[in-house]
Amino acid sequence: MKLTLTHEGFAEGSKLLDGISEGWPAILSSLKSLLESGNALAIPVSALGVEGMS
Amino acid sequence: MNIDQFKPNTFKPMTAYTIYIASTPEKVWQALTTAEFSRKYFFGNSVEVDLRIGGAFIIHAPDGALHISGEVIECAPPRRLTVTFNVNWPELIEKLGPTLVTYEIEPVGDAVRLTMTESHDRPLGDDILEGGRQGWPAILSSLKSVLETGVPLVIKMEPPKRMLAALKAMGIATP
Repeated sequence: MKLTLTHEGFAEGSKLLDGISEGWPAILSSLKSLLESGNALAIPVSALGVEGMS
Repeated sequence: MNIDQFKPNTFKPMTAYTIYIASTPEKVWQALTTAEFSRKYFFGNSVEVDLRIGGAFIIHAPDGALHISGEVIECAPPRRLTVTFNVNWPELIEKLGPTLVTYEIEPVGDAVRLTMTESHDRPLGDDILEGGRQGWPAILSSLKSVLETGVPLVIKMEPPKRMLAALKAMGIATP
């Protein structure tokens, strides 16, 4: 199964874009693990380096 | 050849893909750099790499044909590997220039973050870049499946038509 996620409509230099660019790969990777192995990934939000989320 | 020839001002990242894997940096490194492992997740292709600066980086197709050739630019096991990654199609490198691929491997919690960056030394259109943008997610998703479950993904994939058309328009012969 191929899942494609598109998240658009950001302003130039958007900090939200920086944040979601770090967040989505972690979320979708964990979703894949959960579906295939039954175990989600334990990724600390602080490890994503997103401003205001650490 | 060394990393000084590949400074950011000449090579620019044009495609990046990040995936998190329940594994260790050492296992991800092994998966990326050994033929036996790569055959499972890389469409049957064998990755052979001489892990030292200037060492050969070669990928053979399942039929034994030379698919990718390059050399090691940065090698810091198990964290960072940069190689030239040149598709062996006639005139491709002459017209598109060299391709640089960097793998970064970082421990994150109980998982590993693997980031692949594909860089080029000249502007390339989205049509040309579509090959990597379709291929890398499939390859690295399957790598993740192999490491986490032992079972690769079975993905049927052809080179994107828009990429083949763009290459043909540039006078690059494609298989």
